[in-house]
Amino acid sequence: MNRLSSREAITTAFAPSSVAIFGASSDPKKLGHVAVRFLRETAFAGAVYPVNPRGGEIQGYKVLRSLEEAPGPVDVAVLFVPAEQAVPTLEQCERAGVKVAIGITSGFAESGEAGAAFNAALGSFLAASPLRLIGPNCEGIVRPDRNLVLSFSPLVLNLKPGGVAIVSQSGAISGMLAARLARIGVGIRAIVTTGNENDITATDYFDWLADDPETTVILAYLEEIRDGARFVDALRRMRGRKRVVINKAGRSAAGQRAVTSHTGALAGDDRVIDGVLRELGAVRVGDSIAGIDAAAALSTGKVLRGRRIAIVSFAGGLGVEMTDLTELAGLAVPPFRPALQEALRAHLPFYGSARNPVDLTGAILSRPESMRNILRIVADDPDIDGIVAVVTFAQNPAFVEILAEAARGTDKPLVLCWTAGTETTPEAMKQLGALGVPIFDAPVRAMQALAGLARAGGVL
Amino acid sequence: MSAIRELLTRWRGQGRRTVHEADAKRLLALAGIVLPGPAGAGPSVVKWCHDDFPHKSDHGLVRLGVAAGDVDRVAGEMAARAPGGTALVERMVTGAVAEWIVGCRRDRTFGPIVVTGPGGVLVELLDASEIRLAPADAATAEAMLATVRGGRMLDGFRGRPAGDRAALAALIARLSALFAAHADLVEEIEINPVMVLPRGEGVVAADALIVLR
Repeated sequence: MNRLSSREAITTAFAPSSVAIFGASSDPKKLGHVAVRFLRETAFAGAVYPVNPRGGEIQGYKVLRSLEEAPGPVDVAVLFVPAEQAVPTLEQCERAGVKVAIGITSGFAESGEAGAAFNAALGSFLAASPLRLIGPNCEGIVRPDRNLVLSFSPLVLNLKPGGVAIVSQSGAISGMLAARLARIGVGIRAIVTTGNENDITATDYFDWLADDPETTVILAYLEEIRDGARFVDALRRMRGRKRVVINKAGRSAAGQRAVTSHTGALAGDDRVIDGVLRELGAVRVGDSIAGIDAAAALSTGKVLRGRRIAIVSFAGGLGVEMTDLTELAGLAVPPFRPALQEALRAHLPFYGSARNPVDLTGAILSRPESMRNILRIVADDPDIDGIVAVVTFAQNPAFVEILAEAARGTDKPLVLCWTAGTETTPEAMKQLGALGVPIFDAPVRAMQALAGLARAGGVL
Repeated sequence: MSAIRELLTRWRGQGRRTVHEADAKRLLALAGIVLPGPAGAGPSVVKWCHDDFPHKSDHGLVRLGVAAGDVDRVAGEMAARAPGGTALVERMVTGAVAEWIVGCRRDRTFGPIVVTGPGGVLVELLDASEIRLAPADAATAEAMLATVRGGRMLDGFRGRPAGDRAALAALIARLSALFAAHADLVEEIEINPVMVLPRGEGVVAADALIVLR
């Protein structure tokens, strides 16, 4: 039996030269149609074989009645068929020499008694087949750099290629993560949704991504970690080379196990996750948005090496809120030394504040050069480990260049909190994203970015 | 087979699940972990150890400060309460800077893990712990002590001397290695409290419990 290793299977799934879509439909509302349309719209370079016993044509592709009609080999098959047809379809794939199947199909282990029978049948099939399976009950995989979209979610279209890989046991969450990262200009390496993990697991992807030179950050949503020893090994291999942000669900279900000792009470399942992830240098976050913020901040390649944060704000109130949040997160916003304050004062109006947080006041809007000087002075200060620049709505394009240059010009992380958002300053948002400066649109999100940088740097 | 493995295997063969303190301490002694030792002529702690009563003080099976002449009588009273156990008579450990807990268990995802934090009554009061994979080396153990909530107790506060952090870290490393080597036989092993003495004076395992798989 010529069964691909999970690594080979993932490599194949990421770079197929031909794809079959089972359950392809001429009805534009059906997911099996959307997936074919995405292949057309993304101009997928390989062969596309929609499969449906009714035949016909979808999106200009000839529909095969069965895979036996395929004129050449098929690397990957995507299944949109109902659960009861899953195993027969997989058998057809096996006969046709398909290497990897992606099961979008739902109705297995996640579906109680009704799904249990289908799940058992799927298990027996997989145990004896050379075919490898991603899912079922997943939303497929995406590789922006190859225009590969084997999915039906509009949230994963038109993503910028980059270094952040998304691994998710929830399809819906993966789409939200990707779309929101894209919105602030963060490039995506790959999106993989693992569904029920009857075969290929999130751990398999961690193992693959650990050796992928293009991946710089992994952002994962996990409900259950399978194959813990290999998971630990993959994270150990990534340590110091790649940043890992994990939103592990189930925090509120902690402490369910029967406890005979104090050890059991102190080391509930969820706390074990906390401790092990900390040991492995991974950043654990409590929700999707905090994960997006941490991953976006880490996509710049920097981490915090200390806890001392300088806050430079266009507005007093936002600076104060940013300061409170930063300190409550366990970081410090120390008052600047008198000499540093003196140096800053030269660039501030008399009613500004040079203490930390620095209050630039509205006067800054007409004096962008002051911003450049202040950011440089603060970044060069040896008593400061990281900077938050809080901007309201700067419409002068000079600020974009100044902020991007300030971020590039220092090894210290510069987190940009820009509150105006895409409605008021769309051009600036777009340009900063293109320059690799992610934007956090509220102090709480900038704080989550800082927390991610601090945890990855081992200072929190 | 090592003496430790032999003991564990024998206990399992006897169908034991919870191994009482006296036997747990025999195992710890084999692993080189420091125990209180005999009382001599001074006041002692008398405990009645029985697999069915792991929480001894809840059943009146622990008495502190027992004079040498009263030991037999006290043990006899306890024996009547929990027949079939065995007496453990040790010296009172005094001068501890802090009481700590060090425990290991198998996690269903990650396998052997080690947990540590403030021990004794503080386990329930503070509910603070730090967890790592087992075995954890001494440097990892030091990092656990540096991050755990309540860890500052080890630095000495309100005029108390600083505790023997290095000895505590070494104990964490040693217990975690012991557990990891025998995790196929042991479900949990716990020392609570570990009496942390002033720097240079070491740590002492005051109570211990083993749960077999």
